[in-house]
Amino acid sequence: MSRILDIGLRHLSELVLEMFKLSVWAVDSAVNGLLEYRNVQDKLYESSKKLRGLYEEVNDVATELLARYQPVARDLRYIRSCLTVSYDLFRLGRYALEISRSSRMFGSLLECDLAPVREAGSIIRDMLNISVEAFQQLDVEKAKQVSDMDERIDEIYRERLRAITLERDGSKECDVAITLALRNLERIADHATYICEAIDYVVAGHPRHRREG
Amino acid sequence: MGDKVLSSLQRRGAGKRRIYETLLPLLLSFGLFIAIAVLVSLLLTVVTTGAHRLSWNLITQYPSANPAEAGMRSAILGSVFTVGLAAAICIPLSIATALYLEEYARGGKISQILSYNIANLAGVPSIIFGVVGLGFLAYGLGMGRTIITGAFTLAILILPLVTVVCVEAVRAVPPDLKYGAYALGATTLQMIRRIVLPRALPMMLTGGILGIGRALGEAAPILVVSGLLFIREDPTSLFSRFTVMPLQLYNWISRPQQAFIELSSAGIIALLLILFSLNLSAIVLREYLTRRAMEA
Amino acid sequence: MVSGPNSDVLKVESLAVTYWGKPAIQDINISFTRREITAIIGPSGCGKSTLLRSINRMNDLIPGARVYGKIYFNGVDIYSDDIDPVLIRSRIGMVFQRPNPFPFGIFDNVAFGLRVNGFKLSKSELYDKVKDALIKAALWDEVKDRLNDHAYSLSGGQQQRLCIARALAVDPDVLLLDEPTVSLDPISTAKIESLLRSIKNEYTIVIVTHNMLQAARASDYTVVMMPDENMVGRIIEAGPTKEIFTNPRDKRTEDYISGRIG
Repeated sequence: MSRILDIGLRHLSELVLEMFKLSVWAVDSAVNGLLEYRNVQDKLYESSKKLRGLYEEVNDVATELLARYQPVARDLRYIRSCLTVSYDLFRLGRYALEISRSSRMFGSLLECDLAPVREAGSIIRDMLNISVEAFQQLDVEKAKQVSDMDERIDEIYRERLRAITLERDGSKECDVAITLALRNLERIADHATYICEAIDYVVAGHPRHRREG
Repeated sequence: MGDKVLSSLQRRGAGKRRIYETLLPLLLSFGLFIAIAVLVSLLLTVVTTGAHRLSWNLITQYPSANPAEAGMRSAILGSVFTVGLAAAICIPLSIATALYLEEYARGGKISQILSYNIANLAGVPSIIFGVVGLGFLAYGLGMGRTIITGAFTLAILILPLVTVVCVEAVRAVPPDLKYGAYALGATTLQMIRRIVLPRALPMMLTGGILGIGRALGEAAPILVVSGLLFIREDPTSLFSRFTVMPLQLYNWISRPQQAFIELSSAGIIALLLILFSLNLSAIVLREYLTRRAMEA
Repeated sequence: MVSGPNSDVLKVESLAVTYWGKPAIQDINISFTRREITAIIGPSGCGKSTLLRSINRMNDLIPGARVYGKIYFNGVDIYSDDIDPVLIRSRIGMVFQRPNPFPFGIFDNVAFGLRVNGFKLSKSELYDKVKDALIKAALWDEVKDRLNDHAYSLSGGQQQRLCIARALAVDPDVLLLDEPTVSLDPISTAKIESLLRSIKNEYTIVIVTHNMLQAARASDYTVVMMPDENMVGRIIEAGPTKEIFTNPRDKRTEDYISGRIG
């Protein structure tokens, strides 16, 4: 039996998907902009604004669905997850913008050792792509993969911090720029895991961290 | 556009449908008019032939060969006693039967058998009751051809009629009310006393009145039981001989003299007046009880 | 199987009910928590009302109905031979789908149960009990100046609250309500849901409703019933209302409360 609520849920999914595409593009552009010293700040500023608008729209639609249709059980959990996921995606856009700003601030970084950034960027690209699929299909297995990948990002970040404290010489700009970039990437990765927890919540009914103690 | 709408709504001229529409109420009321006309003509006949014979003699004097002195005193008393006693026997019995059928034995085998038999009794020709009354009550039990035999005979005669009305009266009480009473912890008896009876009693009494009216008009069974078309003494006890008004009227009508025919018309007027006042008191009683039930 | 923290006031064990031999509900095992509101939901014809009526032995009054199994009320099986169903009904009250006030005055309606159960009360004691019941049923303020008015002069919502007051007057342990707001407007419905909440700490309340959202709003525990493939009603899930409506375990529950079936 198809319901009026289903139309609203479909609309909500489309909005979230659009946010996904946009934020994945933003993160990718930011990382590439850093690695290739291209100025993407303006474009990322636009995308960030757009993400903000979509985030508001998701909130509006979700609120309307809650008020009008009093959804329960899985529908309710899905709507709640769309709300949290849209926030995470909005934040992704902001972090991408931050990354692009640092490349602007510090000038060309082509001299620095950008390997960690390249590695982190690649992992994150995979994480985000899997997240999109996981959300579209509500696939808990894929969601689990993403949280495993987050650990690697944390490692890269911690290694980098340790390396900086040990090194005495080396370009200050490189150190700060790369650290900031990794910091933002690490936050992006965290938000990706939050998204996957939300997927888990929709399917399993309890947030995973609560079940695992 | 408006014209099309307007014309589709306007009354058509005389079409077949209109003719039927106006004719039908007339046809239907025709039957009613005929019934009323017959009734009115009957009443008129009776009143014109008998009105001048109405006098106190009619109810104070015994039947006699002299029409100027004849009255139906004994028959009136006979009717009143037998029918009164019959009602006193039949009405409580009918009420009890109806309550048993509807509240205690609902749907069971007993209930089905009882209902079936009561319905059948209603179709039995009334003279059979007379024969049963004579054979079983008068001779069999030795009660004799007396008032009490007549009363019992009439009671059984009107029992199906009154019981059916009582059953309908109990059924007319909304089951919601009964369930409400049960749900508060009332026993069936309490529920009957407080909910069913107040509500059903008016209709039950109406049934009783119908029964009385029927019993008053019965001639054949009393003829068999009592055997007398007239009697020149008051019934003084349950075991007195007696006759009833319909039989006395039959007696007068069979006489050749015109005077007695007129006397019988007067008797009919008297009988009708008694029935009328009975029905009136029934209506009054019903209204009073209905109002009392709403307030209790 | 739902059990409450304190001893359950009602425990239904292997209950089955047949009408003229045809089973209506079967394998019913459920406990009702003391002083909580439990809702029974399910699609039409799944046996919710049959289950409810079994609890106060109203099914006994339906010709052709036979009840199997046990129902423990404060530890006593109400279907054992030495138990008088009439007394059960004074301890377990019921309010029906359509308001059914008696054709008397308001006061006499509420006093009916007290009179019928042989409460020996003085006039002022009777008045106090009636007043108390009407206050609990959130009706006192509206009728206090016209206690002798006929019950039928009240509106539908008021009549239903009168029926609730009538049931409460005899101080039952349990109050059963069979779709009590189905014929009422939304405001009357809300008043009744609210009054149930306010009397919850004195009575154990079981409410049958086909309105899932009413169950979601008004109950602490929810029992979900469904007809099986033979159209026999069974309990498929039971639990705290919050759980049932955010994360039900049975897919049929999920589909039913989300409006996909039934």
